[in-house]
Amino acid sequence: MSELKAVLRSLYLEYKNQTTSQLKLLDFFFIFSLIVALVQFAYMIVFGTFPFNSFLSGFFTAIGEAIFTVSLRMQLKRDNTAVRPIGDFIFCNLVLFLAAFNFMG
Amino acid sequence: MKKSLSFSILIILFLSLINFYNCQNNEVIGAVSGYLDNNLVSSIFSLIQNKQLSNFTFGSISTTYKAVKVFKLLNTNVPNSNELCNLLELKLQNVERVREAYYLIETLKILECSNSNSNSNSNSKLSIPLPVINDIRKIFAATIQSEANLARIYFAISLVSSFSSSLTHENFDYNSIINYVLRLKDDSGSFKSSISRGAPTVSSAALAYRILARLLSTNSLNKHQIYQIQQVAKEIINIFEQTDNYQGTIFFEEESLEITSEVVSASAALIAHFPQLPILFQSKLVGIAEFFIQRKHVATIDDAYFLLTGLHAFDILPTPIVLILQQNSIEVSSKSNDNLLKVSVTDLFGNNMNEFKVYLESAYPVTTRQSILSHQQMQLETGSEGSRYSINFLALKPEPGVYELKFSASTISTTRNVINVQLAIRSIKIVTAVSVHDFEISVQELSSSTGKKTSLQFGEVLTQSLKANSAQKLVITLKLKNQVSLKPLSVQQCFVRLYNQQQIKEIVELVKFERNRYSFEFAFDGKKEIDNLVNGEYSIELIVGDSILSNSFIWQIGKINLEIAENNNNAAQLGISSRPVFAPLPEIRHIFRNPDKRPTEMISFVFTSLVVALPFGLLLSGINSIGFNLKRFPLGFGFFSAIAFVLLLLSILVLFSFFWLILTMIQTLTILFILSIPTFYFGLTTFRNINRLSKTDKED
Repeated sequence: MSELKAVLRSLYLEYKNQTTSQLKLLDFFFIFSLIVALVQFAYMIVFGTFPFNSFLSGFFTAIGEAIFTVSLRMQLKRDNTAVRPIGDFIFCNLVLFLAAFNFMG
Repeated sequence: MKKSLSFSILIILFLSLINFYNCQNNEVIGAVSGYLDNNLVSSIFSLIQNKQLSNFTFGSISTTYKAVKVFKLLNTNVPNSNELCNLLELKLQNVERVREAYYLIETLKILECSNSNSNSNSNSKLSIPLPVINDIRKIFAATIQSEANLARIYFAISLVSSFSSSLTHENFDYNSIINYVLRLKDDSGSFKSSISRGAPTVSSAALAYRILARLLSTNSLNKHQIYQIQQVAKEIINIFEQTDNYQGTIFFEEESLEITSEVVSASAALIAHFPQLPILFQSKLVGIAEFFIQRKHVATIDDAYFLLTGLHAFDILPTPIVLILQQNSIEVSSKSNDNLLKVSVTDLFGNNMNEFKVYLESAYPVTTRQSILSHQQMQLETGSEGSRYSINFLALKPEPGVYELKFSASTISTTRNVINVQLAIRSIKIVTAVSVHDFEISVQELSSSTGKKTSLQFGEVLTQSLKANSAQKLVITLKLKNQVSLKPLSVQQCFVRLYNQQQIKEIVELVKFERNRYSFEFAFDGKKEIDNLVNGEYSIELIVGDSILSNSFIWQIGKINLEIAENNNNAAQLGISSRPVFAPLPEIRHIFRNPDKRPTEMISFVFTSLVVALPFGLLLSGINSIGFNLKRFPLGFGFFSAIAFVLLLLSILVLFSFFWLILTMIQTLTILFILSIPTFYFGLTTFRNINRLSKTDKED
């Protein structure tokens, strides 16, 4: 147990010291998207799927958002000065939101 | 030689094409299928009478005119005509426009109001008010300036023609009217309502014809003007080419009774002045008459007016013939003593027309389409119900079934202008009686065909009940024959019905027809149909029916006792309720899907807050722990482009919200395209600034 604690602590310190604030911001945004998806999922489990279109839109928008964030993080980790990935991220999110609003009903 | 041969071939080809085109254009002239009978005339009279208001009018002045005209066409008196006369004469003193003056004066003319002198017509007391004369002058001036519209011209011309003797000093220029009207004509025969307005329509053509007819009735046109109007009359056929047709009816403008009636009656009004002009659209007139007859059940004053004026147009136009099968000829029994097939030939108002040669050109059953006669003349008979044309159809001994009969009729009178019938198709049904022969019923073992057979004559009942168990089957065989010809008959319905005495359960099964014989076998060996049968006594019925039978029947044959050992359930256990067979079936109660359970509004609000606030709060606290740094935010132009970029992105999200609420996809994409241009520009600028800053930092 103590070994596990030591491993986690070293992981945390490594993350805190080695990771840039830009990537940390993206990580927080990723967790934010997952929590949004989780809360909607929990609502669906407890209270049913009505309205189903809205649930699908909201849930998969959050998941899609998370996936785009991961993709952006991977690209920025390689080269943190690149701006092309940010532009792609914005464009993909706009398309995702347009599709979600269309599907929402 | 070669040249003359090729030229001859070309001539032959050209003539063939013309002939082919003519053949394609030769439409068959039929007959109308009904007429305006006395009952309908009475109902129209009652309808209009009931619509008279307390002030003796029928609504607006145009509706009053139409109502009065309907009474005139029905040859009946207008109720409270004196009071109506007084009211309309009072109104006439105060009118200023041609439209109101026209309707008032025309109504007063029809009413023949009794204020006039005995030696003069009713118009002598009537006069056009001065403001109306001024309006007429304006309309004539407007035609010179190409500003008038056809409706106002028509009202003006009608008033001028009605009061021509008192308006001679005005010297109205009819030439300007004729030229203006002709300018409104287009190549299709339609007219525009004015030079500056709208597309050519057939209803404007009707107005144009009425105007030209009114001008002719003034008898003050010269030869050239009459010739110009005659040319228009010759082209009336072009208007009738713009009709549509549906199931034998022909009409204008999507089955509009008003427009069809107006065009037909206006055409008749113009054609009346040129009786020598041939009418080349007679098949269209028959279709239009059929259209009117199918609209004969009217519910408003307007519809009654348009129906009657349309029908009375045929007082001038060639009259279509109405050819109707008599009621007792529509369904004829082959056993009937009356062998005669009778048709009546009338005009559109039910008046008999006797001066015809009527032929039954052919008659054939609709199933085989093989004609059983051709070109037989029908004989004229005069009786208490009027004259009829008859033929001894049953002498041909037709088989039962539905027959199509093709009639033709041509007039032998030289005085009346009627449209001969080339081909009128009517349907009749020959019915017959059926008889049952060689009826046998027995209960047999499942695996064999032996068993005591009982023969019955039609109508007899089994003297003893049959008995059957689950290892047996009920067998019935019979033959059905035409009572008249004794030929085997195959009918549409031949069933055997078993039903329990307490009517708890019934089974109806088909009797099969093979090789001119009907046979029925029903095994009681546990088939699904008998799962709910109970042991007990069942009645056996034979049901025979067909549309060509005059004696369809249900024959109670006898009873059968069933002992199906496995199924000894009683009705109460099965929950089956008793119901008489021919009683109404239970009412169907539709079960709708239960709506999904939904949480309360408070819970939905809580979760919405959770979705929005909780993750956002965590995000903010995370950003706070990282540290919020605006030092690298660009300054100068970069500042504005960055702000603009962010704002434009937000505006796109707002656009998506509007798309969800109000806009369509096309509208959204259009606005998105417009927004994307500055967004792209400012985004590119912002990223370039960020890139430049990053490179500067690296160099540092």
